[in-house]
Amino acid sequence: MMFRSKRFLLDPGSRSAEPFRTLRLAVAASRNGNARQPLLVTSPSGGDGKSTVATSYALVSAAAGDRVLLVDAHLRNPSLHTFFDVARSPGLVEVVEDELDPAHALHQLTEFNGLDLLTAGCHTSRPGEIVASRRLAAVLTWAREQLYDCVVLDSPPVLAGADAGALAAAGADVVVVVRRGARRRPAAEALGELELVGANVVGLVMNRCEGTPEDV
Amino acid sequence: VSTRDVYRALWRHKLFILVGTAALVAATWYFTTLVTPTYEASVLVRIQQLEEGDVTSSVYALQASERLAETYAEIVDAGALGSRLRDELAGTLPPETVRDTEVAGHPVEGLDLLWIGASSESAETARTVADAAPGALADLVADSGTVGDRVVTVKPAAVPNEPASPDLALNLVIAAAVGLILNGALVIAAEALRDRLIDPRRASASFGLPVLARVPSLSLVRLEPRPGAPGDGRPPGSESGTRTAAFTRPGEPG
Repeated sequence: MMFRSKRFLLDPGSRSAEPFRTLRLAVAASRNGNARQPLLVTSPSGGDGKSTVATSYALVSAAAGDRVLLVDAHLRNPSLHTFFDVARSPGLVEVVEDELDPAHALHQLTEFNGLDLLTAGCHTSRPGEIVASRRLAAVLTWAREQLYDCVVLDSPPVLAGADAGALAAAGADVVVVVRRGARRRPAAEALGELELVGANVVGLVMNRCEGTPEDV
Repeated sequence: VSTRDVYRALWRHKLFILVGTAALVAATWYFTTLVTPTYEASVLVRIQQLEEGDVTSSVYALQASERLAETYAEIVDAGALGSRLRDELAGTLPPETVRDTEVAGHPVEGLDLLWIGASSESAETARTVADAAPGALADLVADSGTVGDRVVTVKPAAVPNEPASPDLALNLVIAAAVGLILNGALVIAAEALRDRLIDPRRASASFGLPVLARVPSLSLVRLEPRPGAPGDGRPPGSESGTRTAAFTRPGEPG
């Protein structure tokens, strides 16, 4: 297994967190009181920054006092375990395939205001089946029962396969991260695919905008 | 951008390309008609050396005549015939008309022949000046003391029917080609820029979804490695559970 040394995270107290506070308020406003719905963070294609956005959103929500569960559902190319420098396994794959109790797979990151992380788990040859499984839906239901205020799913890119569509169809609210300067057509195709599966896309996050957080 | 994308963009904006090209062609036609036409008449002359000899010396004589033709072409290009042409055509054409007529020489490659061309706004003037040029050149040769060279008119000039410039048909063809290329390139460039997600408001309007946040370049902090982390030699999975690491900024002690 190869780990990327990507241990850079957003400080929720910094000015860089401001766009994510805005995002948190906007998502809350769009939910009309249905605040416990999982939030799926995806993007049209890889490299748009969805994992960074998902992680930063989870950190800011946790800093605001929410009980947050961050799930690495990008089983084909998971990265959140490298963000937080924790072991990749056990994780979602073990919870679904081996029916491991989710509570036993969680990383409780107390230094991040109680943020809980469910990593992707070990490598699997059938990620599509896992993300579309009833067991995953049960895990999300379990998370609601555990009174998490916010469940954030870091999803694979929409155009990379059917995984994101399957996750979106599981009843999550969807935020699509688009990279500023990226081509419009992939974003349109991704939104079209999400629409096909009946996903509730609450809005876009434009990543890599020019300027500093205070300028934006 | 695939070839198909380019083709589709061009097809979608075909009207713009056609109208733009038509406008350029019309402008070219208009400005071409404003240009005063110039007629060109040419006379073909042979430069001969009078010395005779055997076959070998004849070959040398041809080579010498060829070089002479080149030399005389340069003399004609230098404008050396001006005053002699005015003298030659005194009483036929006004001196200022002759002065305004451009005379140029073009040697025929490999032969002892020389084209002398005259360009004027009048076809008849061009022909008259061209026909007078061999005589003027002969006078120049005689005045220079070169008695062995002779300038013989091989083909007198004819009155040109069409102006040498501007070439309206050629200009219109070039304008059409340039118009198609430029407008096509403009369409592709505009399409490439328009197809990018630059402005959040436009992206929002385009997709019918709100842009919930604009994330700039983030200032991230570094999480220091801790014992038992992946890559530290301990087996993966042994570290699940509560952690006590904290944020540290780059440069700060962990």
